[in-house]
Amino acid sequence: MNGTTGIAVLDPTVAPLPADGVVADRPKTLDGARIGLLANGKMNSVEMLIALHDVLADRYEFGSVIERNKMNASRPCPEDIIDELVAKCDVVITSSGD
Amino acid sequence: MASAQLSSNEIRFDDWNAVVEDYMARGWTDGLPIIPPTPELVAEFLEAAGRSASDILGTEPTKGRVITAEKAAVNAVMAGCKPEYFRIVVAAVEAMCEPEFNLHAVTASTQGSAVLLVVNGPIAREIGLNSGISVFGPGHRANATIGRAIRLVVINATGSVSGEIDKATQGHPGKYTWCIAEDEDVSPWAPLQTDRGFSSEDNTVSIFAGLSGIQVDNHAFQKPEEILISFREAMFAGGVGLNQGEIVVVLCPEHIGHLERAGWSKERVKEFLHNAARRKISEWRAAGRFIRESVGADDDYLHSAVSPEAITVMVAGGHAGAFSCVIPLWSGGTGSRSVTKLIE
Repeated sequence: MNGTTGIAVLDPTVAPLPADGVVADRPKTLDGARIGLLANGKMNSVEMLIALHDVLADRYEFGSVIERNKMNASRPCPEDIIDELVAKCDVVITSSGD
Repeated sequence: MASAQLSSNEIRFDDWNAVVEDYMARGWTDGLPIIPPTPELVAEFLEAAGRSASDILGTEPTKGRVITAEKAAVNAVMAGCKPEYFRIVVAAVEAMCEPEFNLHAVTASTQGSAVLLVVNGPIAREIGLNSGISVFGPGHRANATIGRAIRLVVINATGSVSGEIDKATQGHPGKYTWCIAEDEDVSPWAPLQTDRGFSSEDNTVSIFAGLSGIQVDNHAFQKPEEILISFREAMFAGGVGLNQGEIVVVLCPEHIGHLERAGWSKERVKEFLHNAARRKISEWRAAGRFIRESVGADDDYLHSAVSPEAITVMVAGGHAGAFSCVIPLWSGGTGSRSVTKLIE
């Protein structure tokens, strides 16, 4: 131990990426917001999103709503869907069914 | 040793036991005590495998975490590996990072699969990997620690910690460690790696996202058809059960002996199993499987495996006892595909 007492060991972990990742600012209201609904392809994920939309729609006047489905729960969302949601939405709600 | 150029954060403790307790408290283990990963041991492992600390073995495809040889070595030391085992760990990590294995999903999913490692080639005997009695059981350091090293890499390098990213509903004991060698001496057939484009002299590791194995007991019969038909229900039972893109069958020596005496090839076994393990859609539904109306009529047949080639057959186990097993794979062997890598 280089002349000192004790034992030196190494950290086995790998830091998550990106290390400087931050959460986007939360919207102050959903009134007028452009909403994206992204299902993950699992059974009941669409039904859950629709139910959640209906609850929120009673309380807010959305600017627009688009629905997309990434179709495969075990794979990342296809880039074209991500790009479209980024371009057209202020808020995206996703769901995982089963 | 100092030339290893290690870059991991170094932490200092008063003694060995303090390391073990601290790593446990941080969630850096599988719940069992670890060997403290000193820089000296990590450097020794890297040297044994001929790797530089900064060598990138792969990038976890979904989360983007980069796994270096150094991080793999730290975890292999912690698992209790010997330095000469490390090149198998290296190849297995490289295999896990191939996109078709879908590492994030198989280590996060509620379905709770584990990484099954199957080693082929001369290296298995050289390092003492068990392919015989109690092949999935304890008592063999190489099997126990190589499989454990992979679990610790999954936990520490990819962040798949139980209850955090790892959301397995039940999981199974293979998630602690699950590494075997194929018994190439008992098998009358060409070994697994030759089915995957390698030579029988190549050392390889094949990885599968395995669910719980299902034992197949057949002591009563000696004809191949009478033995193999008893695999039918096991092929139906695990995971999604039908239309499986891959499924593993591990044949024990006694069953293999009967197949060999009858002159059956590996291909014939696969063909038989594929044809035997099918049933009507109405029967699948009666067994509790959800099948959409659009898939077919009630009397249409669906097979457990989509093709004979979807069945991977290998040989392992003790000579006494006629117990083989079927290992279904995560997501019906479609969402994750097995990968075979050369051990350099």
